[in-house]
Amino acid sequence: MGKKDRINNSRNIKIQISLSDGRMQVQVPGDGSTMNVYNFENQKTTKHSHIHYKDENDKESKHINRGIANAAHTFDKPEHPTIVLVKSSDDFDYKYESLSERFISLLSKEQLMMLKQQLNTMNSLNDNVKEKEKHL
Amino acid sequence: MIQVFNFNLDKELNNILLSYYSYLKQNNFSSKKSIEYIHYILENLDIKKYANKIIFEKQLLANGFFDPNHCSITINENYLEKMQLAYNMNFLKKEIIIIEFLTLLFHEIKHILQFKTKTETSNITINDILNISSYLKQIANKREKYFHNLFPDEIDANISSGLFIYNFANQNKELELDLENAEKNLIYYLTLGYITNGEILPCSQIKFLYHNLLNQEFLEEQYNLNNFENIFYGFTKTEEQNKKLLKSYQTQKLCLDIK
Repeated sequence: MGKKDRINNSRNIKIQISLSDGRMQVQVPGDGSTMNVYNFENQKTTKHSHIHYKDENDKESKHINRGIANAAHTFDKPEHPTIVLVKSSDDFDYKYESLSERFISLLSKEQLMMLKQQLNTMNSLNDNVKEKEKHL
Repeated sequence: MIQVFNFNLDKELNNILLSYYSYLKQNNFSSKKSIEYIHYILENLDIKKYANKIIFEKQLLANGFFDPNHCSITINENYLEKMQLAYNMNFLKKEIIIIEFLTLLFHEIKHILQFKTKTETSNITINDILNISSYLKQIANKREKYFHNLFPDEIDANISSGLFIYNFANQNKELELDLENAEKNLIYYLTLGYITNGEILPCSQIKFLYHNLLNQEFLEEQYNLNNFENIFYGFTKTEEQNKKLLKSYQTQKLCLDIK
């Protein structure tokens, strides 16, 4: 499923009128009320086409200050993108494991190395079992 | 003052947690009884209609998540097993592992409460902030791990859960829940992403996200948040708050009065 499709699904709202300023008037499911929202898909393909994401392999570009400096050079006129209607977070892939940083912070480097070794041993034991099961 | 659904450590919830804590000291996090305890907690917080399934999953790519579409909370069992392994190797005390687990659990529960706030209240300000957070998540480069801790709903869930466990440990000192570690845990989440290597982010978290994801200026003036809410939602903090946050980070002692 493409990103665009996922966004459409997640909104789950009925679009009623397209406003001239790029916003849409939409009906909120449930209470039936309406609200104005920006058409973000249009913004992404036109208005925000200059946005560049940093290369994850470029360690320097991950530096906070540099990220800000880069962004500052390419500012458009300030504009608040206002309200968005996203009712669920199911299209976010949750690949982040940042919370485990806290767990890592509790252990010393030596302990982490030992734990890693132990986990590797357990993994290889598990692989051996799977391999044997294949031959049964 | 923004009205949001939040944890309230009342007597009943405190009693459930006391019992749950005693149980966890001797038993597995993913046991049937443990799941029953989580259901009691959800019932006490009146959010069972938003999450009636508790899943322990080994193949999860995150440590936990709340799925509003399937009314479920999923906890990464693999992550818990790694902590258990560290405990078996005498690297971690059981109390610390329980703090980690409860913080993770209440992080996800806070996401349910955020969802409840969005669904059941008409508070435009908080709904705006939570919706903006969801939107920013959608457009964020999914490969960029750093951003995750800066989204307003994540900051709120991180700090709220850390604070809740700290308050629980503080109120029940006889438990030997390791108050010192609960405090360090809270400080970790208070400063996560905002203070890196002893340096404060040069602007508020939400402004940082707008700069980097939308290339735009976020106008904080539109939102009337108080000093505590500024911290919980990643808005600009006062100079005094920044000083106290930095001092907490450096000393690992809570130097900031937060609710």
